[in-house]
Order: sequence, then C-alpha cells, then structure tokens
Amino acid sequence: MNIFTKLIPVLAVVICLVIVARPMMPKHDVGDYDLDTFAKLPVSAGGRTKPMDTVARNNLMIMSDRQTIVVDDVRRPAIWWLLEVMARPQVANSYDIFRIDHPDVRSLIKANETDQKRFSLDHLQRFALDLNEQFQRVEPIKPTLRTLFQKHLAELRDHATIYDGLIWKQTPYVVPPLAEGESWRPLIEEIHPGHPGHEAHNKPSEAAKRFDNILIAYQGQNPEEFNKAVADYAMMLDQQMPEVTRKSRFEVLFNKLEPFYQGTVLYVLAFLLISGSLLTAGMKSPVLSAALSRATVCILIFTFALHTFGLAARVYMQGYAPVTNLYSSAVFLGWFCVGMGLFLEWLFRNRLGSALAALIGCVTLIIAHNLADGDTMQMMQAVLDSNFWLSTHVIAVTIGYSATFLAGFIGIAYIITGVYTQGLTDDLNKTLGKMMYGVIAFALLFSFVGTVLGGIWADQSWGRFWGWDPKENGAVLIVLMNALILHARWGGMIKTRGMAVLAVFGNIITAWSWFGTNMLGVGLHSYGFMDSAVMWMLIFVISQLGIMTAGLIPQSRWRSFMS
Amino acid sequence: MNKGIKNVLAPVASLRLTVLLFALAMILIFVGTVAQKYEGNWTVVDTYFRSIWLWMPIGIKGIKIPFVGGYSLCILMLVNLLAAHAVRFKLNWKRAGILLTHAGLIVLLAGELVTGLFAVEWQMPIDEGSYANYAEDIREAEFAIIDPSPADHDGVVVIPQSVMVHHEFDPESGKAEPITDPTLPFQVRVLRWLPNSVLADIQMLPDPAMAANNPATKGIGRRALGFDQPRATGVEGAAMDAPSAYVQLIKNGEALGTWLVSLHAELMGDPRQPVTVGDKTYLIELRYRRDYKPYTLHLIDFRHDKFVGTEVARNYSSDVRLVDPENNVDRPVKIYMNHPLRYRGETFYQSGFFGETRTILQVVRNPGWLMPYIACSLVSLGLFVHFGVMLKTFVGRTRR
Repeated sequence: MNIFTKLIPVLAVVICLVIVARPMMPKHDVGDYDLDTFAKLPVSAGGRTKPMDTVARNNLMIMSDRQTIVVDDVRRPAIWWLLEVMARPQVANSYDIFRIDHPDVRSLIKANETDQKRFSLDHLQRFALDLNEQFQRVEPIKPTLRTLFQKHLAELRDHATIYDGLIWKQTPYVVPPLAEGESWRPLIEEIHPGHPGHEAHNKPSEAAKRFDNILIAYQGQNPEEFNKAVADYAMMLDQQMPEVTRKSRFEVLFNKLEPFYQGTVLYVLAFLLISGSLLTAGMKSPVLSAALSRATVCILIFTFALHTFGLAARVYMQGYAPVTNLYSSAVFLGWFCVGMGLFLEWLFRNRLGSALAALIGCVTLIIAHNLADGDTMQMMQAVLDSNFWLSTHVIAVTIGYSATFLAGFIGIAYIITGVYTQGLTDDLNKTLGKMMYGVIAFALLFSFVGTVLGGIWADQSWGRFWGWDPKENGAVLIVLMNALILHARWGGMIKTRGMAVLAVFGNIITAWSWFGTNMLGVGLHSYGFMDSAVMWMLIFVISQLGIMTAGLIPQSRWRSFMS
Repeated sequence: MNKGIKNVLAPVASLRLTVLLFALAMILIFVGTVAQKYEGNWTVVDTYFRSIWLWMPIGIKGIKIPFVGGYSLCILMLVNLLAAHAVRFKLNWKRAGILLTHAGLIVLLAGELVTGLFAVEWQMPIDEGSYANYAEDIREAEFAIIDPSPADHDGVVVIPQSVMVHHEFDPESGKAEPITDPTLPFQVRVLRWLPNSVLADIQMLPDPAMAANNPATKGIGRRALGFDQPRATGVEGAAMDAPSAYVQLIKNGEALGTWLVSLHAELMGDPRQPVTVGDKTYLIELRYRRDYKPYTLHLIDFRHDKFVGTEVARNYSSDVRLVDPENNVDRPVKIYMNHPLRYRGETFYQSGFFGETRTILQVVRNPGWLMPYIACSLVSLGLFVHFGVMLKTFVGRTRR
C-alpha cells in the first residue's frame, strides 16, 4: 500500500467536512440586526415548540417553495422575511412570495405573459374580487374531487390564509407559558395587532410586552433598540424556560446544518466516485479503481454518520420515534439501506454495496425533500401518539420496505450487468444470488414482524387485529412477495435470474405499499395525498417493468453469456 | 409414512402450489385494496376476503372474471402447508425455525377465520351524565315501535332492516306487501327505503318545487325531505350508512298516515315520533340495531384535548363507571386511546365522539382476539431461529 492510498481516507473526510461546514458560514447580509438571536426564540406552532427560524423557513417554503427570498436583488434568509411580515406588513406585502404555477390560476391574476413565478400579496389584492369569487366556487367541492386548477386555487387560498395569520400575529403562538397553568398563546390575544403597544382583549403579560417591543423596534428600523429588545427577551426566556430555549437553539443549528441536504450532496459525490471506480475496474493497473472505491467507502461512512445524526436530532427535537410520517419514512428507509449497503460492502468487498448505498441514499433523500411540505415534525394525532408502537411496528415495517428495495436494486444491478455488460462472471452470479437471498430473508422477517405488530396495535386501539386497510394490505403484499420469492427458490422453480426478476417486481410492490396506498386516499394511514407523486410512481413502475422484461430475455442472449 | 399416502399428498404438498397460492393472494389483496376506493370497506371485505369465490373486475369495461375468495385461499394454504409438513417432516435445528413459523401462521390464519366468522362489532354512544345498557350495530338499522304505556318499562317491537328492505314498494310491479305481525299494533308498508340518506329542511330547499311530491303526511316528514346518498366507503367508523325510510302505517285497512323515519331524525327534534291509534299513542323510530347488556356504563366525563393552537387531537378519553349488579361490580374505569376496557369477553374502545359531551365507544366481541398474539410470538421466534442459523453460516462462509 503506497502513501497515496493511505492518504485517501483523510482526503475524503476533509472534503466532506468542507462541504458540510460551508452552510455554517454566515452568507446573507441582514444589516446590523441581530437576527441570529431572534431566530432562536422559541415559539409554538402546529402544537410543537420550535424556534422562530423553523417557523420562518417552513412558511416561506410552503408559500414560495424556497427557504430564502430575493428582495431588490439581495438574497435574504427566511427569518428576515418573517420579521418583516410580523413587524412591517405594509412593506412585506410587496415581496413576491406566493408561487403560482398553474396557467389558469396565473391568467386570473393576468400573469400569463410574464415568466415571474412568485407574486406579492399587493399584486394578488388587485385581483381580490375575481380570486375570491373563484375561491368560493371551489369551497363546496370535496378536496379529493377537485381538478388540478381547483386544487391550485385552494392551495393559493390556504397560503394567503397562513400569511394572514402571520400578519395578524395569530400564528405562531409567541407568548410563552411562564406562569402555572398557562399555555402558549398568540400575540393577538394580548396586544392589538396593527397597533403595536396597544392592549387587546386581555391585559398583556410581561412576555407579550417584551416581544412586542422587539417588533416595535424593528418597525422603527432601529437596530440598536431591536438588538437590546431581542437580547432582553431571550435572556428572560433563558432564565425561565432553559430546557425549551436549549432545544430551540439546537434546532436552529440543525436547520443551518441541513444534514439531509448535505447528505444528498455527499451521496451523489459517493455515487460518482464509485461509478468511476467500476468504470476503471477494467484498466491495467487496479490502483485508480481501488483508490476511488476506498474514497467512496470513507465518504459513505462519514455521510452515514451525518445521516444518523440527523435522525437522532429529529428524535430529540420531536420527542417521537424516528418515523412519524411519509417524509421521515423516506429518510429512515434511506438510512437503513445505506447501513445495509455498507454491511454488504464489508461482507463482499465487490463495490456493489457501496454503489447501492450511495444510489439509494441520495434517491431517498431527494424523495424525502420533495415530500417535505411545511414542518416535517408534526405532532401525532391521538391514535398514533404512542412511542411504543411507533418504535416497534413502524420501524419494523420501514426496515421491511428498505430491505425489499435493497433486494430489488441488487436485482437491477444483476440484470443490467448481465444483459448489457460482460461483467457478470460465474463468481459474481453466485455472489449476487447470495446477497439477494440474504436480503430477501431479512426483508421477510422484518416485514412480517412489522405487519403483525401493526395488527396488534390496531387490536389495542380499536379492537380489530386486521381491518383490511389499504396500508395493511400493502404491508401484507410485501410479506407475500418475499415469501413467494423464497419458496420459489426453495422449490427450485427459479434460480438467481428468476430471483432477480422477482426482486425487481418487489420494488413495484414496495413502492405501491409505501406510496400507492396513500394515493387511494382511504383509511387511517393515508397521511397525505399526492398528485405529482402519481406520475413519478407510474414512471417508476414502467421502468421496473422494463428492467424485468430485460431480465426475461433468454440468458444466452445476455452480453455476459455470449462468447 | 405410507408410500401410497405420500404419493397422493405430494402434489398437494408441492411448493409450486404454495407459490401459486401466494401469487393468487397477492392479486386478490391488490384488487381488493383498489376496490375500497369505490365500495364500502365492509362490502369489500365480505366480497373479497371473507368469501369462497367472487366475480373480480379486471378494470376493463366492467368485465368480471371468477376468482378465488379469501376463505378458499386460506383453506388451500392450510392444506398445502399441512400436507407439506406431513410429507417432509423432519426435526432438526434447521427445520425447527420453519416448523415454528408455520405453526404460527396456522394460528394466525385460524385466528382471522375465527374473527371473520364470530367477531361482532358494535358501537355504544353515551352522553355525559347518562348511561347506556345497549350497543348498536352501525351496519344494520331496525324499525322500532315503542309502547310507552306500561309504567315500569317500554314495550318494544322491532322490525329488522332486512325485513324492511324485503317489503319495499316495487315500482315495477307496483306492489308493496305490508308487514303484518300479531305483535305489531298496525301494519307497516315501506314506501321507500334509502340505504344511506341525508335530511333536508323543506324551508331551506333551493327550489320549493322539490317538496311537491313529498310522500310524508305526518311527523317530521312534513318539515324535512330524505335524499339518497352514495353508500359510505372507507375504513373508518365515520363512514357509516344512515338509512331513512318512508313508511305508511295501516290499521284495519285504513291508512293512519305516512311518516319519514330516519337515523338523522334527531336533527329535526325528538327521534321518536308519536303515532296515535284509537286512544293509544305509540312511538316509532328508525335506529341502529340494539344489543342489550346485563350491565351499564355511566359516562362521568369525556375529554378531548388538542395540541396547542391546532385542530389535531392529542387524546380522547372517557371516564366511565361500570355497574354490573349480577357480578357485584361497580367501579370507575378510564377508557382512552390504545387503552381499552376488557369486560365479559367484550372489549370497549374509545372510538369517537359527538360534540363535547357524547362519547362513542366501540364494542367488540372476538373470541379469537388472543390468537394473533400467540401467532406473532411463534412466527417471530421461528423466523429468528431460522434466519439466525442461516445468517451464521452465510456470514461464516463468506468471510472465510
């Protein structure tokens, strides 16, 4: 081993650190205002205590699909925007934040000729009459029966409502529960909105007054007073609710670090490197290929640690087991696949484990990113609010999904290598067979245990072990699929190739169970109905069917078996 | 084992059959899941999963093909499994896991069979400060005729939903055979049966002409019209059918009038409507089928908390008093999410609520409720043993 190969891990980790540390540097100019402290103030929104920063990012994300805003050609952080909205709505109303894509909705606000994507409240208000009439027409139609145009309209109306709530200080709940028996409440209950410093219905508490002072100082565009007011208020909270402010500060750090976004970038990097390694494998000197492979493993281990940190941080902030919704299931699924991929790499050292880890890692994080709409750490409704079951049933089922996907991707690798390259040697054929078999067995174990645990949970909560709910059916389909593959293998009906083709079909089943059942929009598990997801689902299914077809080409015609 | 028997059993025990059954089960479950988008959950469960065979739609122009139902698949799988073990029975570490797993599966399938055949689900709504001594079957209604004259109790005669539907006026033949029974104080002619309905106040109708053909002449029917609704779909308890009916009551060949009776009648005032026959007054009511219990549940307090500043339910709970004179039971119980009350072979779950003060408990009697628990333990153990042994050799062999 020469010095070059030894240096590789060091080099890889340094690159990772540079990539991860980059966003921690301040990058947006916000003048002399101490927005950092303001961003860390704890508030309550959606039933969860979180920092102002999270509220700002989520709301801006919901309305404009971005976490930053460009005003007068300067890019500003979300927290700046939120402060503007809360303290200077007259000014903030002119910022273009409502993203409107549907051409028919755009034509309602006479925006068809421009390629502007986002519009200000001021702009929308010019068409308020027309818009309101259209909103009212949509209102009585059941959400699931709405056309795309109607859905976009309703969405716009919802966004405007959220914006309204911010202006009127109805959300987030900023006044903290400092006295016994109090709970978080909105500023509007104590301070007259629009008239800072004036009392509303209730006598304002000390906290409400102090918070209002922050807004007044900002409204007067006085950085010195603003910074003093923020520091005052933050100190008061620090003293009276230290646990809450600590968590809040941690969440701001988490927001800045964006571990899943960084993770995506690193997984892409890892995938590029391992592809390079596989492509250079045929070269005369194996040095380059081996070096790239080593670097990939180092980056993957680093990223896996980052991914793990992200999951753990969410558990800490949210107080629930890691999987609570579709978003977090994608994050967890990816995490588990990466872990299994690394394990396979350790077992077989054939670069396939790394390649799959990198690929699935980045794809699932991209999926998660697209599933995120607003706060991804919502509180769980009563029947689901049980950490015991969330950490057993949900985790087991998600692991089952992960393993089934991993088996399917090994199947894809098998088919593509065999059909299109000469790389499928006898050895590799055997190895891939073993890998698939092991992973499928693992998948069967977890999907079965997870499914039955779900039944027991259902029996505990509403007296029905099995309700034939679409999500339950989806889970049992995965169990059956894995059982089918194993039994067919045991019975000698299929060999490695058949296992690969069926494992790819397992991908379709898993995707259906994971997303498709939600698209049906029935049942307790249907947490989120998605439109564009239907299209992606179709594309995925077709691609998998294509690969299966390729796998069914007689093996004598595969490039690997032609001599 | 006798060689002859083995030869007979071999095809039944084949793994090919296993794989085929798995594939069929997957198709059945998939189509049964998609069907839930269009049909009620109970209808789907009964046609697809708790059936011997069915006509399965293939999604093209309403073409249907015959297909095996859940019960048949279940039985075939059991036969296949038992035969396989009979033919290939061997006891060693490697087989032990598989044996345990399969034993668990048998218990699981048997449990689902028992549940399908014997489990009943009811609902028990209770108002705060009040009590309930019966549960309701929300999948079936009954028409009750109540004689309130006895001092210490109400005399009640009920006509089940099936009888009502069977006697519904048939517009083709123009026939409507009245329901006649010596226990009934009058004959009941079902003019119209609405399997799932809504009521609309006549005053609020967009077009008064809609009320022109109102068949009702007495009771709430003069103030409200019943309209057909699509049958409820979906899984949750919220999606249940609320039938209504137009009934003509006849005494000695003379019509007393036509009433609208409905599960929604409460919205128009007292759900029990008076009917006067001679000098006697009866009360009529359409209600969910009732099952009276030998004990009572008193609702002391119902709580429904939300997360601060949201509409998301944080928890529901009912503080009830369970009173059973027969067994000398009188104790407070708290029923809340994931914490049901089990009593006398029945389980009471917090299922829903109405307004702020009415709780809705789900009452389930399922003699097989313990079986999945046993099954789960057996299968998990079996799979852990089996795959544990496998993984050990697998890793050992690969790393060597």
